[in-house]
Amino acid sequence: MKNEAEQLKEYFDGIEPSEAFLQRLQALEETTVPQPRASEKKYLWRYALAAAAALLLGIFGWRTLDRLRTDPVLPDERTDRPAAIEPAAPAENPAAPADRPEQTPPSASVSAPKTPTEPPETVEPATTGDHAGLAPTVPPTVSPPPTVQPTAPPTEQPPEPTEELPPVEPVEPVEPTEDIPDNTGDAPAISEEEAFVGLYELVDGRELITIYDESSGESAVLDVTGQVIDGQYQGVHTLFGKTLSVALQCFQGGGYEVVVTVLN
Amino acid sequence: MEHDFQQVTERHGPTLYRLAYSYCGNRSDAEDCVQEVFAKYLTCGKVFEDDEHRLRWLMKVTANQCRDLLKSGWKQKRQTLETLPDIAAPQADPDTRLAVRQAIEALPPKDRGIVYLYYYESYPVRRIAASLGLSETAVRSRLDRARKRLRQMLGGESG
Repeated sequence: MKNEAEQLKEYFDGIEPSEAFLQRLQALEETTVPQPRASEKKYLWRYALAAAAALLLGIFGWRTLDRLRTDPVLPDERTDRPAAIEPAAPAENPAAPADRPEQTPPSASVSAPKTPTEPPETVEPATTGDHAGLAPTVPPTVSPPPTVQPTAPPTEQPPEPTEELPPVEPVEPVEPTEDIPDNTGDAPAISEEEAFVGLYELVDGRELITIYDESSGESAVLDVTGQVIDGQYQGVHTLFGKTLSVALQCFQGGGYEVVVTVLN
Repeated sequence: MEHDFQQVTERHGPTLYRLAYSYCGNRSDAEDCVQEVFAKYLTCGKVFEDDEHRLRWLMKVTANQCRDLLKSGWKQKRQTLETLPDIAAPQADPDTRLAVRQAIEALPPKDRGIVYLYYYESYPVRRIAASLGLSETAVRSRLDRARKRLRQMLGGESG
């Protein structure tokens, strides 16, 4: 009798895969799509993209945080609360609307506060400019021309929102808007006796507009706290025996304009 | 694939089939296992050092595939239907073949693969251990246990 080894060998000899099965195996290659091994480049790109995204996020996040740290007031809020009250330097020759200096952009109008008596050192009359004409509502004889506005370059006095403003500052001349017609050469609409200058300032959290009657030297203070909406204020007040329309316009980035119009 | 798949199936298909058959004990399961193994071979994208490395990988995957099949609940609850005489070796003596088959089926499935590789493929213990993912001690122990049981059932002499 054969030993178990021979018997096992004979047994396994008889175990043969069928021809049909072998053909089916060989057909596997056609039906099975080999999956390419993930190359290292694949992961390299993924990591590179993730690193780039993280870097960009970090940069923008850092810039935002740095901006908030240095200037907590958002740019949109600046229009409501001007950082620094721009001094209104009296023009040396206010009666000459055509000779007013070239108007500077609102963002550049922010300058250090000046006293009303401080002469406009930086004001230089300009013969050209889009806003060469004086606004009709502005008394040309008393108040400085609109061009008196901020002549100091922005780099000289950067705006500081938290800095407290001096109590009294010269009123900035009325800045004509673009839609205001140029009245250069026309007769002033308001006489000298009706010349008023407005000064807008922030004192102890209160928003004050000081109106100066330059003809008499008197002044009156209007508390407009909470009434300045979106950097604008419009009110009618009876001051110095006259009915005055006081309009305030704060510009983005600093600077403002007070327009006082005599209604009667 | 750096090696022709046709050559791989022709060269290693019968070996893997017998190994799977020794585990599963029937043709259909063996064919399913081998087919699954070659499907994995096609999709794995593994780079083999040489043909021996490839065969070792195929045998290990075949053994694992058969173990998974035997462990599955469906397989355990299924009652084997292959009680008919096996047609694998029609030329052999039916009585002898039935006795050998019964003796092999009496072995644990893990031991059947070792018996096949040792007695038919004449693999050394080390190679069996490497192919099936077992330690040499485990292979020797199982081989000795299977040999004793086969000798007892087949009435053979020394092995």
